[in-house]
Amino acid sequence: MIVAEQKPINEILDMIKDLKKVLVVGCKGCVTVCNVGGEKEVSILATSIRIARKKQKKEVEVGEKVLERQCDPEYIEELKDIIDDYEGVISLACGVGPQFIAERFPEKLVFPAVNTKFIGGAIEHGVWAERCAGCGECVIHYYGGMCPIARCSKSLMNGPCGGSNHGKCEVSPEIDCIWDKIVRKLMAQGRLDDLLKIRPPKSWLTARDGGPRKMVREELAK
Amino acid sequence: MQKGKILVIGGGISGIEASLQLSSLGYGVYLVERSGDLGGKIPDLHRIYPICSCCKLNTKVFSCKQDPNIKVMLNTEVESIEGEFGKFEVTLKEDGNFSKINVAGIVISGGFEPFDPSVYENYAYSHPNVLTSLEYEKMQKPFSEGIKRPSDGKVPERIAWIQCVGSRDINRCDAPYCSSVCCMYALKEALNTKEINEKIDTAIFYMDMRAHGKGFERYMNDALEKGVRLVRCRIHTVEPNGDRLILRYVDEKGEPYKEEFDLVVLSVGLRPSKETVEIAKKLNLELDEAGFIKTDLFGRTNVSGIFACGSVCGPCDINQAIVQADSVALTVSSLIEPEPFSSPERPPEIRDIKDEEPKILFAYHICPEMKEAEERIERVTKDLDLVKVLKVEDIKGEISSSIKETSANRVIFASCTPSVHKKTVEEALRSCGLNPYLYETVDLRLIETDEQLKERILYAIYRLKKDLPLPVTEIPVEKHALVIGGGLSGLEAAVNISEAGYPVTIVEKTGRLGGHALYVKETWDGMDIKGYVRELISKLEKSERVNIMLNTEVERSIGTAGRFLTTLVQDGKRIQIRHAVTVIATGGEVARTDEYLYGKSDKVYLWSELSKKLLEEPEFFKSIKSAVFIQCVGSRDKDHPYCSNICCSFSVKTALELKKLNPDMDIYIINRDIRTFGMKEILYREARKSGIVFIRYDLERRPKVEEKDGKLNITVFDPILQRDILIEADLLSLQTAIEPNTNEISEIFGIAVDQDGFFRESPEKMKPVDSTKEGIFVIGIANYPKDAKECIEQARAASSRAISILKKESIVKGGAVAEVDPGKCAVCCTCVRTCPFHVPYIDHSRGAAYIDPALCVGCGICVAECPGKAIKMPYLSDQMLLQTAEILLKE
Amino acid sequence: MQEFRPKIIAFYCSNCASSAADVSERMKQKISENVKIVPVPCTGRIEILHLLKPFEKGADAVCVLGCQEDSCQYIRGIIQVKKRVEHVKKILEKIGIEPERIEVFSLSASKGDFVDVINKMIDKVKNLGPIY
Repeated sequence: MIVAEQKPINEILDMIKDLKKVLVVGCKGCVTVCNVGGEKEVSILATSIRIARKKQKKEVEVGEKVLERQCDPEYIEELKDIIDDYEGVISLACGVGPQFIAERFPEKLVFPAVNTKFIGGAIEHGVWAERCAGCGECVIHYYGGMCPIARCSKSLMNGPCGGSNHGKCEVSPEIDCIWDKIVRKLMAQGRLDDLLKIRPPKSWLTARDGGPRKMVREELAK
Repeated sequence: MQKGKILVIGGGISGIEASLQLSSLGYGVYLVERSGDLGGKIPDLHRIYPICSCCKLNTKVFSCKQDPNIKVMLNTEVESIEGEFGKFEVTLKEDGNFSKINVAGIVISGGFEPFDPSVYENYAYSHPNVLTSLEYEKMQKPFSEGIKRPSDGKVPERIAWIQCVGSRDINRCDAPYCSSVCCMYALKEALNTKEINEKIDTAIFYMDMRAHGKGFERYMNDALEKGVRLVRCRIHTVEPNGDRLILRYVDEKGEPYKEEFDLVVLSVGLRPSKETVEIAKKLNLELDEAGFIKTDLFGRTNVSGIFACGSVCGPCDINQAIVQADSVALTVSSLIEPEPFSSPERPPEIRDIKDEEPKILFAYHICPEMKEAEERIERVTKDLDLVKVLKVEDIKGEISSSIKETSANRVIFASCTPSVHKKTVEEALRSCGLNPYLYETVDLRLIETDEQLKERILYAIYRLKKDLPLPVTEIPVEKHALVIGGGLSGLEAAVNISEAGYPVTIVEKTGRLGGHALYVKETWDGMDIKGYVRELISKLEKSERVNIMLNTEVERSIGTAGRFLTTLVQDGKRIQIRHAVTVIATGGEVARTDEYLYGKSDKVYLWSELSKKLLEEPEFFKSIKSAVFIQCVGSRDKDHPYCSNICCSFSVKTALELKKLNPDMDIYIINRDIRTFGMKEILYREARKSGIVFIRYDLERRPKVEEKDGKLNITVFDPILQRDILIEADLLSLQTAIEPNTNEISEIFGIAVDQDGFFRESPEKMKPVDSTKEGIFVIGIANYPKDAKECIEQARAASSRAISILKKESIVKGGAVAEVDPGKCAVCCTCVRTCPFHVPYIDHSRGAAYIDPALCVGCGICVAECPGKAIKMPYLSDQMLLQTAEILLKE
Repeated sequence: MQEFRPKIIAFYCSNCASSAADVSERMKQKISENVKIVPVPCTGRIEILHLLKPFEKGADAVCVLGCQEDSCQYIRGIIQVKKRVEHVKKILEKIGIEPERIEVFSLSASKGDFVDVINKMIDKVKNLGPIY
């Protein structure tokens, strides 16, 4: 899922410092699961803003709303009836949410309250780690089920670099050297020879390098 | 069978527990206590070791007083007992007034009295700054004057504890036994002292540090870390020096020391209580050599119909007293048919009140001295929206009748400690056909003004009107018990429960019943344990109610007290059992080691192997010239940071056995402490008398073992001689730690294990055989290593408590529980991961997490953790917690 | 000029904290009217929002009174709420409110410190002044 992190509250307060009425909108999708933008976080952010502004003696009216998701137009549409009461909208969804809101309601000021970080999964309760870089052409099966693009600091495709240090990346001891893991796993499986196979160079056209991406499902689209 | 009510003499923890357990088994109980309140010695104590649970006593005391089947009679003494089993006529005396009661059986739980150290002139007890441990407890309590020197009120800088005052001494007093609790309570007092004032130097002067129970070794290590000094030396004399006291001692090297202390605490031993011994003599009850009431394994005295439990039978700690009380209740129930004071009525169906106007009954319960509180309550409630305001003594009775009288459909209950009263209020509501959670409590404590009380009541009224609790369901109790583990404890439990009339399935993973007990010649006091075990097996095999499943393992289990569903696997086949209670007795194994040439020399045995050989080939030992025992091998160290309780007694007992077989054998027991606690101390003395040599070692300097010319060369540093000595031995026995078989089972049943791997006691505390889940009991070695007698007592205690559940027709569940809204559930697994009791699970047919209302304990942690706010607990909803601020902060 | 009497919301659990309250009561201690005590079965139920809201509504301080970490009847409640209180402290600091205005305490009947910790809180908050 998409993993995000809330922006420092002072950054958010700065965004809305001249506004008197804002609407905080959450999302029940990924950001709920990583405890960043769900119903609870909407209330917590709204309450924090109210307290902060009360302290600054510049009171503000803060509305609270949670949408099922902010990446489907039908849900964004639900804001139609209430959005006029507000000068600005703070979206707690991943980068998609605030943009969809901004597109649908072009006259409104839209602010992102979270920094979208990566596509990843929970490795233990409360801890999420990056697993996928969205390269558009998944080849994890070449690497024992692991992705060197997302998990190697240099996205190397052909083996570890000289900075591999006792299983850790030279960038930081907290980062595993994924190539160390890949080689050991393939050795344990007796499939180290897989790495010797010559494969065509990766086409980065399918990744972000090829420009903004779009996917069309002919059989579903009208 | 005889039928009737039971008299319990003595209202300490053992008597309280016996009364509660007897009441739950259907008896009317007279609980007679000579003093003005229940509780015995516990209210005098400051904290309990290893984890404090003093406050839980209040809950038990309160339950006794509110139980319609327990007549608590305070300030009452037993004047005389006539008659016989089934028809005792007891004359009671209260404030000079006599009364007679008729009972079928009598349980004596008169407790102990602390040893009076005045006989030790050399301990200067008459000096104001020399106190007994019980006197010192008082100083530590928060509402005392604080820790001060009685002579001049100064804060002491140095305090000493002297152990074994009135225990392990046949010279100046008649106490050959070990009181078994003093080492631990001295550690506790020293630790508490450090907590109150870190600067006070605390030193405990001892012979052996007996930290042999569950969690005790860790507690001791914690004390050492916090700076409590342990000095191995039995102090001879306490020399007064003005306000201070001088203690002189010699360390093992022979160096003399002199230390001055401001306070000396004498750790006094436990003696049988004089008053109870008087009663015992009147009844011709047999006493043991130390003067305690003699009982068999089941709590029976030599007189039919008279039973005893707790410290009146011998020194024991609080948990042991509770276990014995539950065990005795079982014994009573196997011999006497219950006769209650009032039979429980079948409560009416619960009606749905959601369409009714809220009608709130206000009931309050206060102590007689609280006149001011009463007046305040009457003033404040006058103008509030309540159908009736009522002061209650008999909480259940008066609330029930008031509800019926006023057609109230909700209750506000005000008292000082509302949490103790919750169950009773719930019972009152239930008996009127109302959801038992239709109440709010108001805390009457810490109130100064009318405004404060009014606020709390208004808040309660607001909460009652806002939300209805979740519905409750009545779950029928499955009349069947599942026992896991076919060793001594499991067999005892299975026999007891089946003899009480309930079907039992006993599961054993190996191909035979009996466990380790079949390899033990006899217990420390000469009981033929394997014969006992064979008898139990025979009873089970003959019983039609018992299903013995050998070569069977447990695959999974779900459910709660009253209704469990467990899947067993036998020879590849899956069998499902429905049962109301689970008794887990999976036992443990003696750890292996690679130290001291074990596995390399055939002269080196693990103690389990030695035990077996002694049983099967006693002749072998006639040719042994010299035997050595090494204690604490891989035990009480970083591998197994706990004490395995029975190894010292095993070695001492076995050494004596070997001496009997071959009086010329030289025997050495190399140890770190000798923990022959309780009456086992007598064995230790016998052992020394018979010439068995005890040599102490510590972790820094372990013995060394080599094999040379067909003999074992054991080198050990003798602290008294201050040099290494070499022992040539033919036999070496290694006493290693006992490791529990708990891992898989704890996962399957979702019950917790402690840091050392043994099953954890219920967090509700003072429930030594209850696991962290209701309806699942954990006994025997898997609970903690213990000897056969304690295993049997625990098994009986668990059987007793299991039968209390099995007796019921149904159990009410739900109400004050959490519920998942599947529509909002993001199936993120947070609740599954964070519930301390492992209740929620992902139900794929619902596409959401599911919380079984029968299992939920209502703590609300999952409600707080759920990222999507999909879990609700109506009686403690977000709305209410958020509105709290609004309502209470309104000007 | 009226003396500043801080408004405090104190959540307390029905186990250790309640037992500590018992001892305070026996010592005949009292708490002032401006301190509103709110009972919960377990402090683990209290969420970040419940701790923040009182500040929005004008509370000068919030305290949570729960069990000792090894004594919680629900095993983890007090541990969970301590983490949440830390989080709220961070939020308060960032928005210009003194983080000392919220505290969590592990009480025990052996210290009987229910009223003591509340009084200490009152003294501390008196020095900080009203929240707004």
